[in-house]
Amino acid sequence: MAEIEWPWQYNFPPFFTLQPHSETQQKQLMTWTSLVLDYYRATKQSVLDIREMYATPLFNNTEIKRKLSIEVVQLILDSLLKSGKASPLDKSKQRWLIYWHTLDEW
Amino acid sequence: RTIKTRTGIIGIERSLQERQKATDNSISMAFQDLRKLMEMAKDMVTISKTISAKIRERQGDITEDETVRFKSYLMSMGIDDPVTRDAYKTSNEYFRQLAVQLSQILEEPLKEVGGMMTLTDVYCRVNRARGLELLSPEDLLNACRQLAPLDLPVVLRAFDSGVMVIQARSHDDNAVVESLAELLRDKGSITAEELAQSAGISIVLARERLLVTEKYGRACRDDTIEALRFYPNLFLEEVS
Repeated sequence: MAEIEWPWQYNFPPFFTLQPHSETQQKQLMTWTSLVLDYYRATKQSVLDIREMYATPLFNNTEIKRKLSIEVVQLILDSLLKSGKASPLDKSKQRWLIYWHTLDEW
Repeated sequence: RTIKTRTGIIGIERSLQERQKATDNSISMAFQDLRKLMEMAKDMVTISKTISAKIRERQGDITEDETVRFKSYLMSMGIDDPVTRDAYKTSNEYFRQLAVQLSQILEEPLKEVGGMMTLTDVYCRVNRARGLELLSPEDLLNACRQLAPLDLPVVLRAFDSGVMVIQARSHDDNAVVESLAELLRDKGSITAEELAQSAGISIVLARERLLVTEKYGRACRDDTIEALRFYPNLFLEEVS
């Protein structure tokens, strides 16, 4: 697996709690979406299964013992869907395709 | 024979019966008195209702002495009728006097605890100092609502969480937020309990202070099973 360059936020515990302050939350989600894209590009993966999300280090930072809650993952995926960088594979939205580039770019 | 038999089971039973009769009597007497009292109160309620109807007809004269007195009648009987009452005066004369007194009592203690006190603490302090003629929670709250319109040095404030506090008028959120942001930078992170200990305030207030700081965008949270920790808001401060 390729080495990933984690942003500083990845080791900042509040990064794993959804922030109630709206401006902060926006920044947080922005960082998360770009991190998810970077991670998938670096590890050359394309399928995200919500049921198995804690198996990868992306949403589960064992070093500082923090996990991202499912609600936040949903928020991230929703914003990815809006920007055309992800799409659900099944109706229950448990499996997602993550695009490294948008379909238009391909 | 008039001599009571004090021996044997019959004797015991008799004395028990007599005692029962006596308590029965005193209980029924008490209830009779109570019933009379309630009948009187009922009359008072109907009378006060007709008076309130009369006042309603003559709408709009505010701060007239009659309505003031009428309100204090309502108060003394424990009838809560704020809907019809509120149309005539902003609130009771009694509450206003109480508010003035409260601000006098609380000004000094407030300074000692850092300019803010939860309403429950205020309730404790005031009633413990009074001894007799205690305040009901409602009276206190109503009096506190009058603090702001009366321009007194202390005011009532409700946080988003619903916690109500009395704070000095000079109290400034910005100053608190600044000092907390500084503290967060020094310590890295803090919980409400830790802040309460180091600042010498109650946990409820420490929590509210942290939440205010968060609302101002100067702190962010880390919610885990261990505790709710607050960190300096690096999301907004760090330029990456």
